[in-house]
Amino acid sequence: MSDNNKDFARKFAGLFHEAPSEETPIYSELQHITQRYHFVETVATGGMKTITKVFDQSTSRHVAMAELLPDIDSTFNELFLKEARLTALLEHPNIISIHDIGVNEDARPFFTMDLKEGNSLQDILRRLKQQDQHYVNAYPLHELLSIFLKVCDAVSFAHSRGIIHLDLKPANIQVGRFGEVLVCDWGLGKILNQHETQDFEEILLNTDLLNHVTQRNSVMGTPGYMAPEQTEKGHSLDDSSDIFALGCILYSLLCLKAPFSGSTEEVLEKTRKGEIIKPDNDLGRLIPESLIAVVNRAMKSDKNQRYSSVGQIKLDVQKYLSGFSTEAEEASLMKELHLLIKRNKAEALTCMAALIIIFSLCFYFIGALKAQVDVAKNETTKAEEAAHNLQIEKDKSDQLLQESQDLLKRLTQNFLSESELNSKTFIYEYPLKSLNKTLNNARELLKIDPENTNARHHLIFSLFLMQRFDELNALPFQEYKVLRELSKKYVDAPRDPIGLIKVNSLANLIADLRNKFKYDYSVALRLIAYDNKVRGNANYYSQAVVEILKMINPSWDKKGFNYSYREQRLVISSKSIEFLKSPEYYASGKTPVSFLNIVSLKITGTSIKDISELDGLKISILDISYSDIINLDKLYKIRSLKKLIIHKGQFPQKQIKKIKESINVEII
Amino acid sequence: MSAGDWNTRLTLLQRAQDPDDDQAWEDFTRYYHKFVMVILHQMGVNENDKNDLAQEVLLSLWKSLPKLDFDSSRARFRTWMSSIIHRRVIDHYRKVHRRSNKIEKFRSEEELSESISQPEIEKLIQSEWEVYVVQTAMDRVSPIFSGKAMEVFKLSMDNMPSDVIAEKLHLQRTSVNKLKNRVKDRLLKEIQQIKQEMHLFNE
Repeated sequence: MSDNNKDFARKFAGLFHEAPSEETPIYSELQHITQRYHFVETVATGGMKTITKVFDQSTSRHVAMAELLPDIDSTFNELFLKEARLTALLEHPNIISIHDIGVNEDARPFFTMDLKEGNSLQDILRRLKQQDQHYVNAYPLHELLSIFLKVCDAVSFAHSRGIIHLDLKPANIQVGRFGEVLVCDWGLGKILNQHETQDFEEILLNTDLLNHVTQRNSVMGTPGYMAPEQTEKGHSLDDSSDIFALGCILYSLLCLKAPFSGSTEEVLEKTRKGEIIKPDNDLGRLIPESLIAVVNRAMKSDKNQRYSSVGQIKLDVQKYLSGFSTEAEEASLMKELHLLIKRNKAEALTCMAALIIIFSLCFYFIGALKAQVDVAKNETTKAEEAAHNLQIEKDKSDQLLQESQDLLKRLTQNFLSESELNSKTFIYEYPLKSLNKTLNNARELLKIDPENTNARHHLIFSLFLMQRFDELNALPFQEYKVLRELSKKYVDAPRDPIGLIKVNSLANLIADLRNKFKYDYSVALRLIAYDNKVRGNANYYSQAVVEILKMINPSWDKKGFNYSYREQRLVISSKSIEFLKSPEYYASGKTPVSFLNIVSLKITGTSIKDISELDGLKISILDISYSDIINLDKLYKIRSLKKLIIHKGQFPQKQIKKIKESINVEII
Repeated sequence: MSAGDWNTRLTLLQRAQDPDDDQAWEDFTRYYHKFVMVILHQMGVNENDKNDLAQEVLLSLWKSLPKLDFDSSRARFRTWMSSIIHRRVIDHYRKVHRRSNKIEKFRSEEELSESISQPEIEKLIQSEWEVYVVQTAMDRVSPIFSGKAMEVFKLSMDNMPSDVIAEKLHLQRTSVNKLKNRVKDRLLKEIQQIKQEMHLFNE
């Protein structure tokens, strides 16, 4: 136990007797309330009643209390309480609430209601007119209109309960700081279709409970905001009177002034005549025509021409607020379109932006496309030119190809003809040269055109004739099978030092060739021609010549052929021999016999019929006696002939006489 | 501790009358030992004798508790307690005197017994009891609140104005009031509870 606390306890031992704070303060407070309302301050005093701010002990809040002034006759008590009861009927967020109705200790009636916070609409309009910047910022037109809509809500609700206000005006509309709107002062309010006593009507018509119209004034309501039918007695009042007032309120919201001006009498007069001050925007405010249309319709002098219900005004104003045309203005199509864009600003902007972007992109792409098309066109032109050039080039190359093919053809042709020529003629005259040339040509040609059959033939043929069998065997060709086989057979045949095969082998080769090969004769003849040219000696060919002659005289048995090298004399005596050279056109006109060295030739007993068989022989003595030769016309072809031996009666005398004189003719 | 607990809690006196409640004696001494010590101190009993005397007093009180009928003798409890204390103190000093036989001592005892009569003790008990309860409550409440809150409370009890306290302790004026009320509320409740728990006097 601390001394500190001990000292404290000694000092404040009285706490021992102190009771803890009450657990139920409200309850105990309510239990002990003797006076519920405590006066705080007077808010307003009018002709008949006073409004005070009081503290309500029960609810622990401030409320407004209305009381009849002490000097007002108690006959008004009922009227006063009627206002309270009527207002209490209207439970609506935009209608002032009555909290309590009662009679105080002095037997005077009172009622309590919401304490008005904020400004009345009249104050706001006045401040706006004074261009109070704070108010201008706080209450733009759409804010005022939304206040107006709430007023419409309240009035519409009251009408639905069969109650009309009859004194709607900006001063009776309270606007709180948080946008709460209260329609107040239902003191002139009337319950429709309720039969009231005439006295009560009288009281109503002769009284001002709402402090602005004096008791002397017979007018009920506030001049400037009340309907023409209210200005005179005897008119039945209904919803449309409130609608007129709402029109007036809307007018003052728009123009910041009352629709009528002047003295009370003037105002009443103007109201009756419907002479509304023309709305103008001398305050620099934008006054929407569609709302003026609403005002005009609501304020028609003929109440049948006004809106038929508050809901319709509200609807029209809402239409304006959400950007539609109001019913009252009977808008044109253009106006509707304008409003459509206006109320869909974001969408419209988006659409515009989108359209602009789309169009600009379109233009851009069209431009780009055009450029591309141009490029493509140029390219096409270029391509066409190129194609044209290519065609030209192709033509050129085709031409060249053609030319080269032609050339090749010609070359081949040349080669062939040359080879033919060589093989036919030169081979006998210049076998070495012509064969070499053919060989080279064939090789060259095969380089260009390896498949050329003619060239192959010539190559094989040439190598064969030149006895170069090893080379021939190395060739991969399939042509001239016979020649290739023979080549293989004789490749190893014994050769003379000069390189040629021995003469007897040559004879055997020719013998082997016979009847195996189509052109056996000419081949044999060329073989021997080449051999002869290389060897340079014509003395040993008798056997080979025999073999050749056998080719053209197939029935011959190789007998009756005697060649004497020493005497340079050949005697052919076989009856089987008819030809000394081939009758075939492609064979040379040369006889194989010419490869023998002969001066004297005797063909007695042969079947040789034509003296031209001996063509080309360089003989001096020729014995044709008892041969089959019967014509001497071509004897001149044997130019070297010196002596001709014939048998008696072989030729007529006439023929013999034609023989050249240089030739000695011996007749045996 | 909820209000329900207070209502159902048996008072110490009720418990003391229950022979099976072993805890009751300990609680009884816990509550009253110090208080008896305080009373003895106030009566001028010297330090050496205080403890023994206190034990004797407590035992006497405890023994006589079951005999009491508090429903009918509320007002007499104080009287009963003061008489027991008075008697015990006198007895004690007589014993001491017999042992020491010292004239001074005796005289002082005589003075003592004369100077503090039983009604005076009764009065002393009453005033000391109040202090004791408040102090116990303070002891219980102090750990619950921050030092600052307690300080605020004590200063405000000394009638220091709220704004001065606020300035002194660097607090908001409103929080000064709040702290003060909270501590005081709690303290008063604690006092009520202690009164109920001990339930010797129902003032």
